Amino acid sequence: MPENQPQLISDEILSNETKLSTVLVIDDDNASRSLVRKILEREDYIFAGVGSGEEALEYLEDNEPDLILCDIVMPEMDGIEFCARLHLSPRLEEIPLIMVTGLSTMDSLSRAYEAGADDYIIKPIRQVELISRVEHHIEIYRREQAAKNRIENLFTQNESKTKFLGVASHDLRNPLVSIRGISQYLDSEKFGPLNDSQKELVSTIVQASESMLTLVEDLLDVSMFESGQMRIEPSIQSLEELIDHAVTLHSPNASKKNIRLIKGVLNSDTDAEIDRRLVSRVIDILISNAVKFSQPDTEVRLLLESDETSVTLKVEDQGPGIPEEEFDALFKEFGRTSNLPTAGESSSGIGLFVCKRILQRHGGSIFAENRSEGGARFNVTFNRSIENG
Amino acid sequence: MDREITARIADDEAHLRTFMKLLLMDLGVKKVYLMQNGMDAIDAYKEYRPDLVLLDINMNVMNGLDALRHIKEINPETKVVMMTAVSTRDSVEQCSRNGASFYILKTQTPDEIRARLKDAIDSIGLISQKP
Repeated sequence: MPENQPQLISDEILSNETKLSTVLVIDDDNASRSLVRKILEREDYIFAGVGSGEEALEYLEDNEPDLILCDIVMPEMDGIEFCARLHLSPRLEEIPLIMVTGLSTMDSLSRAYEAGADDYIIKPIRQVELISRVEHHIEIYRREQAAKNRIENLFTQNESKTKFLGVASHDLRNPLVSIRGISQYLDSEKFGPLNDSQKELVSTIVQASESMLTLVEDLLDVSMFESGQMRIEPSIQSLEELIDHAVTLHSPNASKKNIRLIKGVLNSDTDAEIDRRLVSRVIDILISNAVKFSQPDTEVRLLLESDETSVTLKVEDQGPGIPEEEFDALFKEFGRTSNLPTAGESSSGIGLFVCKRILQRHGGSIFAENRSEGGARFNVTFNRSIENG
Repeated sequence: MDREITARIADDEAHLRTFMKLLLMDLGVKKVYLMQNGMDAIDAYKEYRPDLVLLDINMNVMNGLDALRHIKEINPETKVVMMTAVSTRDSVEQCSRNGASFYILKTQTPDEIRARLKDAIDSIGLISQKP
């Protein structure tokens, strides 16, 4: 994200800072109220005074002061009850509340704090103390409100980003499918032979559309996860069968770099309750990453292990391994490591993020480690049954 | 005796019409006509009675499901292939309830789409297969 992005929030903070603050003073003693009024108005606060808790609640129906000063000892509703009532309203509960108390009522302070008061001032009120506490709490309140607005704003922005991502990816997908399909036809020379440079051009289109389609599908998955729309449709599937399928799919690409895909199965029962499409994506991403980051003439091993409750797939390569200090970035959105694909393949940095989300939805796990003999190993574990997860 | 199979494709996206047409012609379909919406597909169907109809589910003017119902009313025997970019259990059920013979997810690989189209053509059973 560029740092100089416009921030709507800052305008709001400015306008808040220049606005005069209103302090609601609740005290049944007229003399105290007018003393506080004098002190506050000298410092440019707007004074609003009421003589009882009931009147205060009435005032608060239509007004939101920046701070409330409330006497503890009052007839009818006392300060503590008022405080408790105030905290029943989500709109008002965050307004800072300072209790005003005489020394004789110090023991009721703990009850006031329990009821949600933020601070207290002991009578007789001294001007310096009152102003510094009022200033301090209004300042904190302002900051909290600004932070809250900011979070709400970011939340909305994030939602619209996700929505945009979904719509854009969805609309990009269809044309890409056609571009890929049509260029594959050209490449197959069913419409007549291509000369060498034509063939090179066409195969570039095929490759580019394939990697773009993968990216678009990853983005679409991300947006579905982020917006909570991703539903999984689990059924019992043989992971070995999915691996076989994936090996067939990736072998042509791997053989271009003379990388061998080797399957190893320790226990023939590899059935688990999974979403076939999503788990195929995980396997695709892991294999294509392994091939992408490995040098030619190496091996990628796909090992299936299982026990009563789970099936684990280990994808091992003989590539450069994961730089120790970059493990954190691995499963993050657009988190790329400093490793580069060995044959100029593209890498969006979104694949492992998608894997992690898919595993989370399955109640499974994924983690990466470096093998002592060199290369990386990705361990993916599925529970045999989703309910056990 | 073999005769030439004809097909109609209705999809509002030109590139997909072209792609599907390529696949069908590669599978030996001699004549493929292209339409942009369900309404045109029905008019064309009435006039030419193709053996195979491919309908996109989401189209303007008239969507694929409505077109499917109309075509099936005219001739319940017609083989109709429904196409969609977004598959939901609901849409699959609706298609089969209304008499669609096949269902293609546009995001499948070209090989998978080709295989489904081949199934559709084989189900007509009249085509002279390519070697």
